[in-house]
Amino acid sequence: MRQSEDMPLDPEVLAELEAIDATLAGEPVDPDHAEIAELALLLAATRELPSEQFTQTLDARVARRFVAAPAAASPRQRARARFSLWSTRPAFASALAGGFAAVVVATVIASGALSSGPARTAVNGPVVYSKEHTLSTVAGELNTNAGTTSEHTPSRAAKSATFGAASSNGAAALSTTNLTTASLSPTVPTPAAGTASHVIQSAQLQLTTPNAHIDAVAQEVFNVVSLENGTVQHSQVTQAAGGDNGGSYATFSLSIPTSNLQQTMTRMSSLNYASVSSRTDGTQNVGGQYGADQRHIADQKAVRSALLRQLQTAYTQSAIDSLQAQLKLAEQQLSSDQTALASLQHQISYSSLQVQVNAGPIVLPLRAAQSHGFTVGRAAHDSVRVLVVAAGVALIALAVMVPLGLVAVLAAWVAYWLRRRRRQQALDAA
Amino acid sequence: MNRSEQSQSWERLEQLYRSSRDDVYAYVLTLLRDSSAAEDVTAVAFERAYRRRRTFDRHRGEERPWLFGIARNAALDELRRRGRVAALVIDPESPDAEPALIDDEADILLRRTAVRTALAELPARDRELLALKFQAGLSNAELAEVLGVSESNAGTMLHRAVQKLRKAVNAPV
Repeated sequence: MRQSEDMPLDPEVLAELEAIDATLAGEPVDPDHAEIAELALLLAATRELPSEQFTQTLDARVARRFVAAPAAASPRQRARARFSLWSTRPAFASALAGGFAAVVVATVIASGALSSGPARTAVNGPVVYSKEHTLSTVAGELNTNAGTTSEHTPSRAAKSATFGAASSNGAAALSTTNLTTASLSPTVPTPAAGTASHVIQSAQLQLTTPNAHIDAVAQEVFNVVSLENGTVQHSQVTQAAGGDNGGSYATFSLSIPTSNLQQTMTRMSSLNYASVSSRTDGTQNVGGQYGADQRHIADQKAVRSALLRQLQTAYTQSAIDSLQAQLKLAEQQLSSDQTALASLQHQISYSSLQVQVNAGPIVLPLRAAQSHGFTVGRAAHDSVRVLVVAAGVALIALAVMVPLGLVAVLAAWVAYWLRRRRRQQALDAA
Repeated sequence: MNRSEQSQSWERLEQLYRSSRDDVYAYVLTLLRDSSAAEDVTAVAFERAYRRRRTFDRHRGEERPWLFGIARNAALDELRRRGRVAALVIDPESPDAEPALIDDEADILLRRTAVRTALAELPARDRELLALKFQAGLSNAELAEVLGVSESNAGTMLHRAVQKLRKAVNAPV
């Protein structure tokens, strides 16, 4: 239909149209077209002019460049103006839609980053094995138990024992305890505050490092102990030749001030060349024993005082000798109790930490690469990583933005089409 | 857009306003058939044109068709809003210039009234075409641009509308 109407006009139609144009331009027309010329003039003459009042008002508004004059405008005009303002600002609507889309994208990306963040820490931080999936899956399950595990000291101790036993039994147990580490390390309780609650704490840590890095890790362990004011009670480092799975290992028996134990564990868990394979925390409440020792000491002191008073009032040599013997015995007992209490106090104040480092294949965390200064190669590596991450983010953003943009374009087209159709319908209805 | 360009765009719009105000009103009035609504819509049309003056692209057409396109949309929005046909407002006593081809004054008034009545009875699409052509003074090319059709298509549509009007005027009462 449209195509047929786009065809060249019929000569007769064209002649009449030209006659109309000539008439409106005040030019003479062919007498054959006199009727249509007359009609054209009559039609032009039916044109009505706006009222004087309207033209003055509109002239004034134009002179003010349509700056609102609220007092002069009728409510209808104001409503019209508001309608006009909104309907004539597609840029504003576009900006609003764009802003909304940007917020959605940012939210999606941010939520993605947040949800992947802890998982990355849990998996990447401690260890990345070939069994990564298994580990991370179990991690998710155990994470949910972290709260209950850490709140009840006795049950936690029981779990620790289980983990400790399991950790020596192979890979499956290894992954389980590893999870405990990842999830518990930030929330492990510090029941000690040590002496106040009379709790003896202990911990075991298993680390994995490439065979060639055993010495470096051992040195890092010593450094951490030194930093935390601990002491190395026993250590053994065995270096063996071979690949990453070579037989090198190291063991450390450490004594760490209880108040520094958690920080020490944190430092140990983030060594440059090692990843945590498992971690076990143990606690033992010795409040009863501590109180009993204190009572014994008080009793012994009371006995000694009584014996001393009796000794002052003794007359006979045999009585004096007997009292002195009892006094000596009491002092020995008192000394023994005090030694036991001091020992207990030491155990409370200093926690035992067993660290075992085994050789094994791991992917070193990025910090290992960052910790030894600037090199061109490292900078290039970092640059590539940054580019890869940026490209990933851009890809994700595109993946979100493109469908959103298409939807927005489609919605805008539909809205335009609907509005145009309604206008046409309104015209037809008129 | 700097201050100078803003000033230029405003001057162009002001010039367009001065040359087209009455044409726009006449066109809108023919479409709406309500002088009060026509005044409102004319004002809205110029205000919209003022707001959009920076988006006007001369390469895409001339200013008059652009302005009449805005006026047309405003008028159709008004029609849509009302959802009804406005009462016919015709002033049969409207004084206009006399056509040179006609001598008798009474006959002129009679024929003009007949044309006005016939025009009012035409469908809105035809009325719009005739208003754009004869009352707003648009060329066929400008008319085509306002309606979004080709020029030959606009000519055909206009010719049909004129024929309908001619038939209505000559129809026996």
